[in-house]
Amino acid sequence: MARAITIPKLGLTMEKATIVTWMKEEGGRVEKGETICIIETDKINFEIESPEAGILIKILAKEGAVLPVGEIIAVVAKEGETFDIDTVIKQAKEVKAPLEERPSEIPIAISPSGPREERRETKASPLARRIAEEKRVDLEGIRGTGPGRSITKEDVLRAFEERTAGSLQISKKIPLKGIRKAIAERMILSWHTAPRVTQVMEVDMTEAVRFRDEHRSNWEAQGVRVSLNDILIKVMSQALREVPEINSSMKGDEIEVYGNVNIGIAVATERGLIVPVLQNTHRKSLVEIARESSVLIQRTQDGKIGPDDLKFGTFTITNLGAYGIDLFTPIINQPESAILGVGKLDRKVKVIDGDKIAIRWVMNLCLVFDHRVIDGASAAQFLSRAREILENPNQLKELL
Amino acid sequence: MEGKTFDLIVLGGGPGGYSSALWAAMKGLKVCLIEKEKLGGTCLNWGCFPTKSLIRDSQLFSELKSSEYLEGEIKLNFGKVMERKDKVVAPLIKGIETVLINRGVAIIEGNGRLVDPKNLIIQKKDGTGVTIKADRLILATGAKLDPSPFRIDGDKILSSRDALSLKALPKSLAIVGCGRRGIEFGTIFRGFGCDVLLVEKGDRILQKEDGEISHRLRRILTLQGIKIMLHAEAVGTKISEEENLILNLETRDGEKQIEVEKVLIPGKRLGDTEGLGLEYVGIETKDGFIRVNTTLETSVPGIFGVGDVNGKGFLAHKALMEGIASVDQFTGKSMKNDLRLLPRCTYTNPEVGSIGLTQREAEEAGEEIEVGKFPMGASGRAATLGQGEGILKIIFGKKYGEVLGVHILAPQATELIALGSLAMRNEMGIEELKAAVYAHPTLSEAFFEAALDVRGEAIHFLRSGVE
Repeated sequence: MARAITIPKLGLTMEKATIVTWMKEEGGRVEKGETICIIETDKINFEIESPEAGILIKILAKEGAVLPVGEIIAVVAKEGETFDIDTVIKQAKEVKAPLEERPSEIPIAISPSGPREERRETKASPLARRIAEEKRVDLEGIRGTGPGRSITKEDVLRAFEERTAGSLQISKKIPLKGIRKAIAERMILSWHTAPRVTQVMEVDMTEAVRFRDEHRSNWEAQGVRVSLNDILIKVMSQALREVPEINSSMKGDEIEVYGNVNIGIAVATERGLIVPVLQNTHRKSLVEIARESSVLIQRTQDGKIGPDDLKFGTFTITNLGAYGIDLFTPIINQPESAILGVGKLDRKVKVIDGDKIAIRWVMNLCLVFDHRVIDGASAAQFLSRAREILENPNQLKELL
Repeated sequence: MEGKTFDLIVLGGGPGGYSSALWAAMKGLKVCLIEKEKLGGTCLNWGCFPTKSLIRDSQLFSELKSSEYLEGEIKLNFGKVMERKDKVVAPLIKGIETVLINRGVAIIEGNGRLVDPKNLIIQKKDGTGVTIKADRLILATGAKLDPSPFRIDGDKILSSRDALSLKALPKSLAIVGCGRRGIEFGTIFRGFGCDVLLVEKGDRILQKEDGEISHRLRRILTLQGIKIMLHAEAVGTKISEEENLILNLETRDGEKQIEVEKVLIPGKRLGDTEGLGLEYVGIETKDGFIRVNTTLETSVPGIFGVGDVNGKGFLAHKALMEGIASVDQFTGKSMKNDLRLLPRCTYTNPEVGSIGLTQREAEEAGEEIEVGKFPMGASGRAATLGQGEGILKIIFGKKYGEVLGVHILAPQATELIALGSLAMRNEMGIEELKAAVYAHPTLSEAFFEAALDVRGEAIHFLRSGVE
């Protein structure tokens, strides 16, 4: 009886194949097991053999054609057999499904692996098959360690891991939107706008720590906890007033120098980095700054701030000391001209009073500034002034 | 036999020892097996087989005795029952000896002691000594009872061995611990008509089993007249002024004293390594057991620890498979058997058979699961056996439907569990269980029904019928 030859399913994930070349011409004689066509799938060539001896009556696919699994590509019939070719094709189409159950109808030899070999059925446990299908792992070639060398769940998982080793395993995809998108855009803008310079200055914080500890109970009596960050906000506000070019923005052809100081505080939230702004800190007392900043930070973390809380910043402070960072170079929060990165407050051995060794509280202040607007000398002057206040007990007292 | 050299010496003639010896001999090795007491070990002499013989007689007696439609007087001849047990075991032990000899295994009766990793001195039963030598050594010396805080006297305070050689049936018996062995002994003696009290310090019997199984079994045992005290720790015994035995218990309601004829201590187990000379060759032990790695090798290369003595569980089939697996190791084959999948059997009435994870273990391991159940009350075959109590419950992985655990409380559960073992070893799931045909009426149909039950499609019962 005439037989239709179809594209065989050679692997779980195989869906289509390309006709590479016909080894036989239409109308030519074929022997049983003789290669009549070579197809390619997943970069591997397979030879399709004739299921019986006879004549290759009809070739239905051109070389180079990409065809789905199960598609009829040729018809072979015995010599002298009479039949209606359309009926044969029609019947073949009717039995097309289910494909998996009849892959052996056409013997397949794999090339270039050498001589024709009977394709061995892959032995795998039902669970291994299910996992392989889901993870799109080809069972062929996996070494089975189960009963009778059947492939087990562990074998499939090992193969999957080996396959994915050295590549990226995406655990989830986060759409770039909302705050994340805003952060990304603003960072790119800043990076491509401001030619920046970083200056790092080590500050002896021993007096500042003492100042805070001495007044703590007094502040607590007023219902406020004053942090070193609050002291820094106050000190920076004062230094910014004294070196006003740091407290400025480049707007088009002009540099705007601001009369008031609005300090942005970088806050890490679950949704991402947010920088709320504490307004007019130059006019506020340390206690006012402490009270307002704690409310502002809390509202930010709770996701309860509005657009107005983010506006009109003139300078930003970001503190990674709590994370153990010694120094870092933050990116300027445009359109501001400078940002202060605060490092870890730590006890270190220092030389003081000329030639004495002492254990002191030490911290790095890292100033990143826009060199279009600010020159190195001004920036250094600004940092020096801030250090002077922080290291001097009398000047600290004036913050009160 | 002075100075004789072997390829393998096996110490211990229980299931772990004789399976290793036979397997190695079949692979062409020259093997010597040393047994200090009786071939067959605990399993044949003082464990599995004697108790199974007694359980059968005990069940037969109690069923006949309590039958509402079989008439005539049934009397227990306890002595004959004990005799039958010995008659059952004797040819089995002889059989093992015959197979060993026919496979060419040299058997020496005596105590073996390691001199170095390859040389042993054997103190033979007749008092003479020999030294033998081998490249490989398998230690399969089993486990022994740790009765603490009790002292076994063989009369009032009994070990399992003592209980198996009783001359007369005690009127009352307290059993300390509701593990597999405690409950089996309870079932045996209750069946013969003895008053049985099971004392358990934990909150349920058969702690290793699925909670649902142990709760159901507890109810059944109670209905059979076995008293079970939970949250009760047996702390000691004393003799009252009237010369009666008193068992002291600490319970949640304070201390209690129970008057009882005998107390049975199935007890904890410790590795039986005394006199082996482990310390001379540096074989590490932990908590009384020989330490082995995943391939059963001890801290000394070439020496393996098989069965109870490695402390990884006290099951004859574990020892048997470990014996084969350890020989496969040094004959160059990797382990074929997944020794993590061990069926657990308790020969009560009905029986308990289980394998794999309990529902709780699966949940605690973070597995997403589906549970299929079939109550034996809905099984026609169970009804014909007059045993409608019990349940078969299968834990499936939700994503792939694979079997994670099988828990059976049913007549012949210890046979039925083989299906679970087969399914799990071959990583089958709901679909495979549903695809097979089960003879009707049989108890095994419960597998089909439980698999169908996952989708609420069981044939012979409605899901609301399961508690």
